[in-house]
Amino acid sequence: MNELLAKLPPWLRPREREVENRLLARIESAVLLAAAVLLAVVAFNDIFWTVQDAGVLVADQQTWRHYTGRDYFNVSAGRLVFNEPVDVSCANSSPGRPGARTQICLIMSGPAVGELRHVIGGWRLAPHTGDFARNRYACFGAARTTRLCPNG
Amino acid sequence: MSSATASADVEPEHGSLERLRSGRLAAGLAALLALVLVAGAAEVVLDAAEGFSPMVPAQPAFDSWLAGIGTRLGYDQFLPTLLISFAAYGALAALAHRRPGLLHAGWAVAFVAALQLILFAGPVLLATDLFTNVAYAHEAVNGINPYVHGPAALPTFAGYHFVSPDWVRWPSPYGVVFTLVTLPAGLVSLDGGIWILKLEGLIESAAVLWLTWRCARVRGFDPVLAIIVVGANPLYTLYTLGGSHNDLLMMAFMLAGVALLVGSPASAGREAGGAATIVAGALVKATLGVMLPFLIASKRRLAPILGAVAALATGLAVAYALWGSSAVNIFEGLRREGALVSSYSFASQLSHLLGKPGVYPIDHTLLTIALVVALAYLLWRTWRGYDWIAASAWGMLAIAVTTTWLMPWYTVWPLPLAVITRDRRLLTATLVIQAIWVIHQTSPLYGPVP
Repeated sequence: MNELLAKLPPWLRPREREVENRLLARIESAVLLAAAVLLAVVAFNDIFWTVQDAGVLVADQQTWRHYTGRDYFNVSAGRLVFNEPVDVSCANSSPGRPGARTQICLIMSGPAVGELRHVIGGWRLAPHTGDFARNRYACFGAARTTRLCPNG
Repeated sequence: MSSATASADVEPEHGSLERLRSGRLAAGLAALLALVLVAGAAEVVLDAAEGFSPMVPAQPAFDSWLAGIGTRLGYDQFLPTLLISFAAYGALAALAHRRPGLLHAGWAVAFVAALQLILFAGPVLLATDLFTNVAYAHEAVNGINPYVHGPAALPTFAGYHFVSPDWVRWPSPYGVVFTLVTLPAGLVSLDGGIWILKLEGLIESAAVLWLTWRCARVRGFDPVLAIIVVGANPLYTLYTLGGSHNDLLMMAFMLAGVALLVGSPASAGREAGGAATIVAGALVKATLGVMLPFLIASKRRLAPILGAVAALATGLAVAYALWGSSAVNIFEGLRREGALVSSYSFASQLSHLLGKPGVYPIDHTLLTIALVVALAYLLWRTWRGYDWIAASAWGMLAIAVTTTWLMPWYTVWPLPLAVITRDRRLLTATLVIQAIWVIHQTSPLYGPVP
């Protein structure tokens, strides 16, 4: 076995103890530092991303309550299209467990002004149905002019 | 001349007085930092005992005697406590590192033990995994194969409602050793099962700390610093022990294997036993298997290979005899979890930086390639004489950084190994990763929570 290992090229031969290689240690340290900086950047970017998103989603919920005149707690809010500032917010049209009543969904866009966003359209959903295009009805505004409501 | 002599006579006394003063100051500061950590842990436990919150999963009132003392554990309580605790921990570890001998061994053991007991006494924190594990134990005891069926197969089990909806249909991703160790939790009521797993977590944590101490002493490192770095780490206490995660059992096997391998006199029996113990840990959580190539590359002898193969064959034979072929595929759990994406993961955060909504299959492939390259490089370094224990810890850190399913307790894996190796970059890197993770966790503090 040892004879076989001795035939390997020098950089591939096993060693009992490591020989100090300062250049290698420096390169490793530089790679580790670069990785740490990258991870720190992505983490801080994510905090900014999350905080910004949370602010917009709270404005979406406020807008839904203001527009429908219903001060319900359980109002969903989420992005309709990723990387575009268009959100959709849904909640019951009458008191009940989330999703157990007819849902009113609103599409919102633009920046939050006075904690409210601009409503550009919307639709309704029957109780206990998911927010899929086939389930949407009574669509209005931008929802009608786009392919969001195939059933009108 | 005479004044110079007088000055020279006085200076040593003055110097030792200064040292005494600064020694007392350092000891006082260490005590203060330890108090901050104990108070932080106590606050989290007492507030968590007030019931359900984003940090406290829904659970039966098995520890109701703690209720009524704290306030509900919201983001506003938990996240500042986590930040302060992590800062205090970093300062205490730095102090213990700069001033060896400052902390008395008995004091350090009492402090770390107090932290572990506080977390043991409280409710289950920050994850529902413990309830899932009690459910798997009840399945196994009731003749339902936990490697085929998720907790949904036993909906009559009282703890079913406390299992996360995400996991109710998932068969156990853990190895046969873990399932066997947790079986007693399936023989008793839900509350009894929770206490059994919490007690097991406490014993495993004690084993991890004792073995860390032992390995540090054998390898010529300060054991006091070693147990402070591991046992006072907030991600170890609040998250890993707070949720009684099986990573504690995996780490206990990992360190038991290392203790056998670094102990003297070195012998083939020790090498075989050490490798077998590491395999037993991999039969808790397959991730630990990452240590074996480094061990084998370092020793270059038959004994560890034989020990590992014998342990694996025994473990898989027991698994097959008890639960059939689905219990034998130890990498299935890793494969399934590897396909998931957690918002905690650096991969997910990187995708946001690149303007993507999440991690795509191509990203999974690229991350796997990056991990394989890192492990291959570490293996080559180990072959060329680098410390296999340090290489194993780097490997675990690489897994934590590249996985798309990162959980905070995964960042704890390399910690006990980092304090028993000479490569100080390893401990620094582990703590930097943890610090970045902790800071990322605090985002709810800076904006509204929808």
